Amino acid sequence: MSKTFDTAAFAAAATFAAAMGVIAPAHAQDADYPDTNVSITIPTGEGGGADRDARAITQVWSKYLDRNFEFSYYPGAAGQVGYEFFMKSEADGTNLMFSNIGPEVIMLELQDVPIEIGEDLVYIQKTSTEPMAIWVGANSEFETLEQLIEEAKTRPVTISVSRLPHPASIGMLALGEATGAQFNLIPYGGGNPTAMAAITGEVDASALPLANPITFGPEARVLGIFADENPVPEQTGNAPTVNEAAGTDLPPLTSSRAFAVQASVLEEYPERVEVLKQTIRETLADPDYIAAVEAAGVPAAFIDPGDQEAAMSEAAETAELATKYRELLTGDE
Amino acid sequence: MEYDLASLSGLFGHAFSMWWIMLPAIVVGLIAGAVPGFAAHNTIIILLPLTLALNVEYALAFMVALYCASHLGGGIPAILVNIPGTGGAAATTLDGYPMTRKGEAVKALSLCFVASVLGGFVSSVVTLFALPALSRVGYYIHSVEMVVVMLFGLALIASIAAKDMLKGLIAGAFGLMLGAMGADHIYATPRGTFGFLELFDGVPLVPALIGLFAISEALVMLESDALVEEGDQPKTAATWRESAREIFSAFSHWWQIIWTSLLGLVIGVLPGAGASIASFVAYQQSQFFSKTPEKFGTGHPQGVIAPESANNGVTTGTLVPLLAIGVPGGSTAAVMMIVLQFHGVPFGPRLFVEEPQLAYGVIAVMAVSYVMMIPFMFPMVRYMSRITVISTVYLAPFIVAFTLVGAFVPRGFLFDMGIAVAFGIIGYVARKTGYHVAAILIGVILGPLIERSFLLAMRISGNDPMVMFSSTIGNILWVMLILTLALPPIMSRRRAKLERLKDKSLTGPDA
Amino acid sequence: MNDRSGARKPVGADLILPVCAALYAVYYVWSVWDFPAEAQLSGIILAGLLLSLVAIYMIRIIRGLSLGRYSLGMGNFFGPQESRKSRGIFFLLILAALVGLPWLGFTLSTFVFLAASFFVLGVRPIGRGIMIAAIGALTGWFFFIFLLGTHFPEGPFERLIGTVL
Repeated sequence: MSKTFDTAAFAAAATFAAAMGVIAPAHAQDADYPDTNVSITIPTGEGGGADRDARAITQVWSKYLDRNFEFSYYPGAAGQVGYEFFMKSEADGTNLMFSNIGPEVIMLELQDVPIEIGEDLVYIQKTSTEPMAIWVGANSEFETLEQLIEEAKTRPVTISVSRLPHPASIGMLALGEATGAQFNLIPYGGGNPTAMAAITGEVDASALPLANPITFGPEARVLGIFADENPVPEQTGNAPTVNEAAGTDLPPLTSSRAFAVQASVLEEYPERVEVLKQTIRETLADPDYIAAVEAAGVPAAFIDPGDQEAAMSEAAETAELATKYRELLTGDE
Repeated sequence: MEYDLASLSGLFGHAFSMWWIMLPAIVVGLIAGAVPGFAAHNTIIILLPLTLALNVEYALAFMVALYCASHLGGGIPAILVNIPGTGGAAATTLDGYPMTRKGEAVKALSLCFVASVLGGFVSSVVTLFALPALSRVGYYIHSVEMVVVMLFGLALIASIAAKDMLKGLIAGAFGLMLGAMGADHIYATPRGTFGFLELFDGVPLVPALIGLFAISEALVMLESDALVEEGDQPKTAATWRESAREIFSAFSHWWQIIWTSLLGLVIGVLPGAGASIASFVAYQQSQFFSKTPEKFGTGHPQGVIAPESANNGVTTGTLVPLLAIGVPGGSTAAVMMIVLQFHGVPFGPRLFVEEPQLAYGVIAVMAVSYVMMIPFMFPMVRYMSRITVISTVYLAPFIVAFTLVGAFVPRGFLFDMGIAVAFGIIGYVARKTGYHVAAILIGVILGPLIERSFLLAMRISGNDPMVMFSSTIGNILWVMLILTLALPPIMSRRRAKLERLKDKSLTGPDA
Repeated sequence: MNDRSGARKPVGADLILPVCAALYAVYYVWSVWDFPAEAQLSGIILAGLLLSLVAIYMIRIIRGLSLGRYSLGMGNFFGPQESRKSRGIFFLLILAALVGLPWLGFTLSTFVFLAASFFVLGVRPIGRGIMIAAIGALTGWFFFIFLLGTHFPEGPFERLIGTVL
């Protein structure tokens, strides 16, 4: 799929040929499942981290699942819009949700959404897992997490976050609670603007999934990671874990990307779900996929072929955290 | 990167050598830009399977050329049928369409194309040399300053409402109210949505634009047989000679084109700003500095030039944060980033270190694609102006059929076509009763953007309203904003006084 | 506006927009009543602004009415009398197109809508309108669906082409 057209004439023709390709193959191949294009719902915006990861996966996935993939983006109301529209789509295994378990489970817990994880929607297969991280822009005065916490004891330090219902936000609130530091969370709505605020110095620091500061390279300096150990010391300048740096005992805060289907698909089309799980796992192990992930600047160490059980137990743990911090996250003070 | 003649000619030569991918992109971009709902970033997403398959340089050339051409295309329906193809072309309708009604479509199109091409070219060349400086702009303009910049755009409501200020303000406030619909930025609680999930994201811009402008225009235009007012009908089709003459004479506005495009460039660099803000601000500022501000809104050439050169200045501007910092400034740039990442090309500062040819090449491609659009101008001016002689009984159904599907494209909801019709009714009522649809649209577009920046600034300051006056740049902008609002009425009163004195002195002695 | 001489200026239609706007403002405030302050702030400021503007406007209208300068007629709201019927039907056709689109698909519904509108708006001979409608619909199909691969609602025509290809 990731062919490179080199000759001028061929690529000119490809302008039209590829556009035709978008619609043609849907009817050209055998009738086994899936017999149509696979639609992927992304509950965040186009051009965001989920979009990036979904594109990388599907390019290799189509080797194993001989279909085209279509994407739709619903960034509204912290992902709620995406989840609700996904539940309305046909439950036959051709509609998948590419989710980010951490923030989205918290959103489902805190907002008035009529969707129960497990009963209505099931995360069937993880694709990657990454811890949350605190980081600053390259020009920031803060060199270490200790400095940031010390400062936050004297004045409220501003932290850009993607949204309030997010594991990274929970991490900052928990860290503040444990150290007496004041963190003022500023939700920018999406990874890119959140990062921009930290890099341009509008806020003091940022809390996002670790892949974000890593892809920004020298523009970002990671101060601490919400994990038991730093999984990627090389790409993070050997950043310490938050617990090491702050002397706290916080639980690891991670988020996994995972594919989800409507719960009824598991009952009505178990064999289809098996096909999906099997081919996703094959994709994750494919050297082409690993190369694509690394090319996008994301550490291959984040690839995580965790199964349904692992995904669902992560969702359950996240839901518990969300309940614990409900008040701080919803403004119901 | 140090520029010498060899490296510059190498960059541009290389950009020209990709003509075979840029020309089709320009054609697609021109058409997509002219059809409301497609615009650059939707089309680029739709064509992503193609661009991901191309090698990264060709993919970028394709996307950049399409992006630039779509901004030029957006002005065409704005001028000819009062329907902006994108939010960035909304301000173009204010003077473009009145020119068409006066039978000056050829002139208006020429102004639009020349302003777009020259403005886009100038801002890309400036970017090529000033990229490091431009990339610093984002470090100084934060949420507080953004609020003031957007208030400049909002001030346009006051100027277009000059005829009946109260009605204009009601229209603008109604637009702002509609713009406040949807989930709030902090807690994501849905507000004023009537319980429709489709409205949780706020009023979808494209359906609102299509309804306010296209659907209502189609309903109103059927009241007469032709668009052009009787007596102003051009006798014959525009000739090549006439088209060329209008195009060349449009270049006489070069100074205004340059400064408004640079204004667009700077606004484009700001994160979260975009073509619509830039074109509103440029229009408003052009009117402020114009010697004939009263002519704006009646079919004044400067009113076409300002928004068009500004929205093409934005195109280069939005790429600056992506290239220089590595964070996309807008949705089109975000999609381009995906393509870069997909091919494993680094972006941000590393791009300039590791692949300088590609980094500066993108900007060169931008400049070159504007040059490549020049030959398209002549036939477009000549033949497109003919649309105005088509009878409205053909025009109105076509407008409705193709803009309604345009309302569907961005999100793929049938619901959005319903929204377009609902806004069509609002637009019809507004037009028939003297409320300006552009005032409503400005509110709908700017409302949520201002609210977001305002809430961010407030939250960062710990809810201290004085934060709005806490930065030097912000305060300078405030003073400029107040001057912009206060000076025109004072000046016109003074001018009126002077005129009266002059009249007296002329008539006095003889009487 | 201050046309003192001549007939009274009909302002009935002018009231539609401010009244709708005011109603929406009230509904909006009601919908955010229990929300956290940051979610309410801008909406309540805007609603206050809008309602005050509408109030000032209402005072202007009421004064005009009592002074006999205004009347509550609809004026030229529906446009010229002779084309009202055809324009009314055209508007109904727009609504019908919305309803029909999911079943007919993009190409067929565009064709039917265009042809019917041409007929209603008085394009004669009828065959000419049908032909232009067909060309328009096919051009739209070619550019949007065939070239760009846009996911418009599919209907019999799109499925037929799909099987042929």
